[in-house]
Amino acid sequence: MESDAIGKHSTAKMTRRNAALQICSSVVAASVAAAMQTEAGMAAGLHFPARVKRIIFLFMHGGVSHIDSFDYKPLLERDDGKPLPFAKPRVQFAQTGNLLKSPWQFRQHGQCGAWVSELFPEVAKQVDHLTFLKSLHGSNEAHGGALLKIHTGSDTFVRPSMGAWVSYGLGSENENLPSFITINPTLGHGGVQNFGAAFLPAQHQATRIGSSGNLEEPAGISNLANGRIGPEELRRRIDLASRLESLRHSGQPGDDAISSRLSAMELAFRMQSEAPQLLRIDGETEATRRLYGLDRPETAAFGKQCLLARRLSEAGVRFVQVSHAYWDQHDELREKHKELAGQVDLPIAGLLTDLRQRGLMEETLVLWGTEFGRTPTAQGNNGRDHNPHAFTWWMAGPGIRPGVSWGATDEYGFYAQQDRVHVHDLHATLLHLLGIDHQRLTFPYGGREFRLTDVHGTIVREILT
Amino acid sequence: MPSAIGFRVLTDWLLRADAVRVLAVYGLLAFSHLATAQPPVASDSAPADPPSQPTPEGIAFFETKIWPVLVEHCLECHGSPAQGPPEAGLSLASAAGIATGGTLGPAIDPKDAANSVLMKALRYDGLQMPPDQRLDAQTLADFQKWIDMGAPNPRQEEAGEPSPGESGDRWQSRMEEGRSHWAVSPLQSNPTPESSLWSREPLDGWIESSRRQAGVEVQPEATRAAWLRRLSFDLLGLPPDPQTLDAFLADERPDAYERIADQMLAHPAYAQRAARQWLDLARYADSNGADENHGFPVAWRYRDWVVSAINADMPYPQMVMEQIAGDLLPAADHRIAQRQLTATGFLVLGPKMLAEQDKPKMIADLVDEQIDTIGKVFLGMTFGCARCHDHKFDPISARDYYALAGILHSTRSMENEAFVSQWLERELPDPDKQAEIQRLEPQRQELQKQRDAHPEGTEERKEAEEKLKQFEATIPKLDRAMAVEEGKVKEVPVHARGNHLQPIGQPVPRGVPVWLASEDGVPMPGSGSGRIELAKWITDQNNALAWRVIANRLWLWSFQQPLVDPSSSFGLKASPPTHPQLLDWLAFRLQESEGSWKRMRRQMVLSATYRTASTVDRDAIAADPGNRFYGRSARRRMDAESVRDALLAISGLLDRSFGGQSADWDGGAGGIGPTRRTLYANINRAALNDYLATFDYVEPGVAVDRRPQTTVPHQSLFLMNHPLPLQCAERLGEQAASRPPESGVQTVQWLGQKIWGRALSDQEANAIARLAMPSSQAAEGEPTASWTQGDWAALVHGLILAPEFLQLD
Repeated sequence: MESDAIGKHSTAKMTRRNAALQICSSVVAASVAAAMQTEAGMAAGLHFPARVKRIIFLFMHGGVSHIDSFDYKPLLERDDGKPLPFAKPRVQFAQTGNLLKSPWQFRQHGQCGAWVSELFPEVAKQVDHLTFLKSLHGSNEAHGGALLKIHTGSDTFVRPSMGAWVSYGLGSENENLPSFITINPTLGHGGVQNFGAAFLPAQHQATRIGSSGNLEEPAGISNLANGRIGPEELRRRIDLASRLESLRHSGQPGDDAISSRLSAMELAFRMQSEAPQLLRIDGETEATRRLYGLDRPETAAFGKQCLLARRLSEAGVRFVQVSHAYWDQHDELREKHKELAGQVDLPIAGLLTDLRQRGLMEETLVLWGTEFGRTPTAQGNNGRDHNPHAFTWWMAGPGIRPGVSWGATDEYGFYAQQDRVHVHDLHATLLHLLGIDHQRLTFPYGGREFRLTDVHGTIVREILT
Repeated sequence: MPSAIGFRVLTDWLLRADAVRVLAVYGLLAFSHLATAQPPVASDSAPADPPSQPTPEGIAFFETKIWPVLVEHCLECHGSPAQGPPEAGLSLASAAGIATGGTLGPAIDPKDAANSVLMKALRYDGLQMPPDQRLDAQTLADFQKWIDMGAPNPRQEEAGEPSPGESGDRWQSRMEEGRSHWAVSPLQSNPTPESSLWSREPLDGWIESSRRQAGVEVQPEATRAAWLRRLSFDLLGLPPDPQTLDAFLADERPDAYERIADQMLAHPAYAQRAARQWLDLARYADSNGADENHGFPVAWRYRDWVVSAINADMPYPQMVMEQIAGDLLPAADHRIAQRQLTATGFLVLGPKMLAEQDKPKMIADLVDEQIDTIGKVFLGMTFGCARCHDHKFDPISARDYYALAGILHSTRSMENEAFVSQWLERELPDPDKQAEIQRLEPQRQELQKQRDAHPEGTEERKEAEEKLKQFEATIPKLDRAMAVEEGKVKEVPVHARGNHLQPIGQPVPRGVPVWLASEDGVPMPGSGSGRIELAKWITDQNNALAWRVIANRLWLWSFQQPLVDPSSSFGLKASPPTHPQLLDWLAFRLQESEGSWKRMRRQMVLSATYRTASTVDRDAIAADPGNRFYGRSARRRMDAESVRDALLAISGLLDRSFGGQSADWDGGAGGIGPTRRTLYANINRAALNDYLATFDYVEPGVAVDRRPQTTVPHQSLFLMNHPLPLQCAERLGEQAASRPPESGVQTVQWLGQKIWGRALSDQEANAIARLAMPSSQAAEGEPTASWTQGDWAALVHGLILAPEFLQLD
């Protein structure tokens, strides 16, 4: 196979037609239309011009405490140890006691003056590039439900994940790679459903690299190599298979199903050559490695994943998710939140810097989030319970107003209160940035049309530029 | 920053306890009384004129723009008086409530919308409603428009029996449309079209006549080998072995085809294959998925129930009955009781939010999942929509939904509602074991007593404890299966927006959807959940819908495409059947045979329609791209199970045994995975095996009526690199190499039979051998003469990689 197939967008347009048009010909015309759209011009978006071509989603699994990181609450500090002066939610995951002030100091940063705690000193330096959503709220107080809610929009039913919807809507930018990749995902709390395609065609599910708990060395995509025969021998066998097919139809091309299977095989062979190179980071400069904290033991693992995310995103993967665990501090808040933040703070800042330096930030949205916040009231004397009623996410990228903080929680950070943003609203906004109308990206299943946002979703226009 | 503090209220009614709670929840702490603006309206003022008969457009506007907002933001405090006195005496749950108003007078003034109490409150003009957050400008504009329209509102009842949407002309006309809908009309008995030379089974008549009308050409018969391979994968999910192929090709008896079909239908492998198709519908899995992915250690008993039922050709009505109400049926012996109990695993298998701390919500969602599955699987209907509102297209009202919900709320599917709740598993009766347990009980008690005689922590106690444990280990345990049992009869009211916290009115009597039931409905027993009645109604011969649904599925499983597509969608919006008379005829035949799947499948696979060749001819395909007229056979890709099973079978590695616990994917030497049929491999909902996902095993958490057939590079990667195909190539390569070297052509032909299921001509076999010849070898003479085992393995791998392996003609 010609070696120039390795690298971005180098394969012929004709191959794209084969791959995109025929691959799913028996199933979904809509997805095909979407794939064609990308060929017409990726910035065009599906329904209107896109501000963003790709998303990198940094997912903090377990529930990062918003009131200890980005949502500063002076009253919480003042009223430390006092009872919460208003009612707790009807349904709680666990019982909590009185208010517990944050163990960390908050300071204002940047031109915009955003408050960030000392947990995230490196991210704090970049607040002028970030847009905070401080009034997010979901509906499920347990991890599994909350993960499914933020990833699929439903904590009740099996639904496609947002990455799958994006893949379905926009197709792939690089036909040698999957359009949705998740690095070190959790296999609990919804597991594959969080990055699955549900009833969307299977090619839209995420390709998994590594899994939770395997922070050191992300594994490869499955079946990318074998220990029995080398690439040259495999190449010979693939060629044999194509000739066998021609022989059968005496040189006639056969039908679409056959030609698309043959082209899928070629694509697989190219993936096999390209993907391992992408997953290898030894070609990165020393400066880049330091930027992501690969030279430090505490940041090396997550740094590598962030670097990998950049490489995949740069190569045209639409949606890359990186997961980091496990922020569930019912106790040991002081110790664990500090330790976990120490693992991700520098790599995240490094990723943002790297994307900007390479000009990738102009077409990439970085999304940082978690499944829920934590209660301002204490669990024990050094912990906080789950809080789906308020949490903070931030994003960075084109199309949104940098340095802006949207929405607010109450004085103690228990409930999202002002300009509340539901998970559905977040999804609608993300799709909008990608040039997709969340009400028009639908898929028929079981007798009706489904959407990522179900029957909900209001675009948070106030944060858009 | 928000300045929510300083929340102003006009009158003191908001300070009632509940209001304080609601406000406090949102951290709104400081109140001040501002006696400004709006003077209170005398409560005895005449209510506004009731709006005149609302127009359909007006109702639509209300239902889509106004009612959802009321439900989401208002009804919790201003709900129906039936739920307790509403705040400020104001109920927004009905037209009358809005018109009468509360302590502030009528909520709306149609003559002066802007100054209506409701509008002022929404504008935060004096009053501030909803208290937690002002609604957006668009919503306010909608309310203004709605009042200007005369506040059309179909919700007339004040209390007691709200029937959301069920009244009114719109509903009536939809119901009328529904009653004459083809899917629910009585089955039409039509004479079969006259048979022609082409046709072999009566069903061919309809296919042929519609094809003639459309002017579509029919392909010739498939070759015997192609038909056999198609049949073998369709019925068994396995390739035909070379001996069967040889024998069939040589069989000149007139009933050769019939013999093969009967042989396969009688083979247990048929049940394994057909079971998998039903398991897709039953959303079978070995773990819960959802939020807490606990293993289902005994789910496999339900899977085995499906295999056995199909193997025994259990009549379809009985299959339905056992799955919905098996626990309630009389049983002649304990084996039957075990079987029937196990079948109800169907109801328990769904994914559940086990850690949902709002336990009533967990149960409501569980019931919803059951209703949705029952509706889709047995009736081709989507009932789920009606949880929140009347069905958008079908005359299925929210009341219908809650009537069904009552049946399932009266059924126990959960063992407990603990922090992480446990689904129900029940012990399977077994008199021998039970007698033995009883016999050993006194001894056990004695040992327990001995243990308890010693104080905690002593050496003696430890010893006695150990003795007790050892003894207990010898006591037989009753097997368990996921199953339901009867609960307390519990009827439930309609809930606003499906929210379990917002009941509206009185409980709805249990029953089945009015639209689908006969005039008398389906009476429910005073005691007992009503599941027996539900199952009886579903498979009653007069329930044409259910029979059409199953006939259509059997057609899909034979012909790769359903007559009604999608096959779980028979509502008013469904596409009509491509061959309506045929569908009805099939449903009749199915009824006549008391619901025998085997007899139905037999007719289908022996038909001329099934025997037609597939084609790659572009003109033929262009003449009928969707193959609606069955001028050719659909070319199909093997499904996930068939690919693995075929590779295992041709390698000689396949373990064809029946039933039992699900096999671990880590099993199998050298990473090939379990060697049992893939049907028996573990289905983990939260970590679905990569292989299954790659080959379109859809989603084990929802009812899947038809898997897509995609072509993606990951499938090629599997065939290129996975140990299973590579081992298969090596094993067959070894066998090929051990055959006499002078019969190279025969060896290639033998491989062609095994892998592609067809007989290669000498010429073709020769050509293949030349193609596969290693470049180092000379081109003249017998091409395979000096082949090594590795050369043969390379050829085998090439045959597997070729599209002809995965593709069934």
